[in-house]
Amino acid sequence: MEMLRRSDSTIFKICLMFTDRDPKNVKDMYQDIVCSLWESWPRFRGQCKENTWVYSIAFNTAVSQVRHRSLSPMFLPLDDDTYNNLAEESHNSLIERLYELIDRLSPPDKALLLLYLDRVPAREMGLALGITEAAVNHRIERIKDKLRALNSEL
Amino acid sequence: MPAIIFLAIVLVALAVRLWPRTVPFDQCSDLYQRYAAVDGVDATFIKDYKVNDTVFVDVTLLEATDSMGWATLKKDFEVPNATPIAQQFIDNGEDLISVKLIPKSTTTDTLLNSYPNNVLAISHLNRTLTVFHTKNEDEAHTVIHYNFDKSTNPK
Amino acid sequence: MNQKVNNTSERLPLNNTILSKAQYGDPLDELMTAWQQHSDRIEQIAGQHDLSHIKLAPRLLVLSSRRRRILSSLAMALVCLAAIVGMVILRQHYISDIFEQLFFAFLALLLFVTLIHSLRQTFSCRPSRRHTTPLSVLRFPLSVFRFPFSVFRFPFSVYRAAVIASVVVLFLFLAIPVQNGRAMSHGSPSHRSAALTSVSFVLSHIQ
Repeated sequence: MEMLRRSDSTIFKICLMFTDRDPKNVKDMYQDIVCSLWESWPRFRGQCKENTWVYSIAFNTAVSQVRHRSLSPMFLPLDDDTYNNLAEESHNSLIERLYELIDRLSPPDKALLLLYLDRVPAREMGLALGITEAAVNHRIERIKDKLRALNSEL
Repeated sequence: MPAIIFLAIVLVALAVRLWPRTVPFDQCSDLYQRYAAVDGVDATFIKDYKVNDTVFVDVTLLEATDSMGWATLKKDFEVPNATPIAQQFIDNGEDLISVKLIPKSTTTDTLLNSYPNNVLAISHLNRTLTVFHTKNEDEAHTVIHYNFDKSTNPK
Repeated sequence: MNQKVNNTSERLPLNNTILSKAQYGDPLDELMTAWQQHSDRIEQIAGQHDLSHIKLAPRLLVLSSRRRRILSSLAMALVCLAAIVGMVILRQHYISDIFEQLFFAFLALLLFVTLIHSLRQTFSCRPSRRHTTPLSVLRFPLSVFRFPFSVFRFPFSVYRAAVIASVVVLFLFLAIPVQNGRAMSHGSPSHRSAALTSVSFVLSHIQ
């Protein structure tokens, strides 16, 4: 539970990035990610930082859209306030614009961008996504180019 | 695929369990094989007829279709004529079924020798000989002392 | 291009200086600034998120997938063994002819193959294969079943279905008694029916 508290904001960011920011979809993805984390938690042996591990599991869940609800060992009653607040925060026009650009990226690029925006070191980014540090740097540059191109289109 | 495998096995099991089968001629009793070609006698062989939950016997049913056939059967099996009193019952339409136990050791008849014990049930009214081919004396006694009210013989 | 920039700045709200500057500087740097504000706000929302209502299942119920696979395979092996034993016992009382003998022999073979497969699955789930354990002595006999066209290439779900079917069949044979007169010298239903009626009558009137 403590791990969940520490990772809550990270999970929210991933949910916002990989959904259309609709509160219902954000809540669904949040529940899926928490289920995945709960099931995988016994296998975490400190091979990387906890936050990196959370990123890794959460990205895999978000990208694969795996539904764990039928096996869910948890109960999440409706708590719309949080998700409504998140949705409202995302509806700021500037942030909307940002998400508009981000939505045009592929899921792996989204994951990499989020880690970059959260100022995660390149080594940890590589561990979270299962790629080398060199590949991380190379892909970041590509994403930057893509964003520049997208921005001028819009 | 798993569902198909499951259904296939269960359906085959049901078919194996419920499908009626015709016993080949050479697997029927010697008695049946002999009388199958006799004019005036209608022979039927039933394999594993259930008498009760533990007793299953082969049965050969010999029905005379005419007087000649009945005469043949009575002669072959040494069936005595019905007594006058018994004949009265028969004439009134009541059947008296008498039973004869024929252990293997007491008969030289090769047709009956293939089974350890045979119970011969004679029905004068229907002109029928029913031979229950039992495996031992206990089964023979079960047949002879059979109480239909307690049985659960499904057809 | 200038016109485009002007149009863009007219469209966005007044506090959009970050993005309009993006047209001239590196957009990603500006993105990070905007994102940082957004991220701070998300941290605040997360801090207000009440997690106490989340009920997580006891740890014991959430087994690792490897342990689940091992337990599942072992359970399957035990069921196969129990079904084979059940078949041996049933055979004496409920199997009456060659067709049923053959069918049960086929089922027994299927159960045996599944038993071996389940045991193989159990051992292949173990994390360390290099260490010699007392159980590793079983690996050699099991390797005999590694045929090139091996039936073990079937998915495990097929074996599961076959095992469940076998157990169902055992119950069917218990529940469905052999029909009287199922095997007779004649095939026509009327003749069968008449013969069975006659025999029943004789049995019930023996004196």
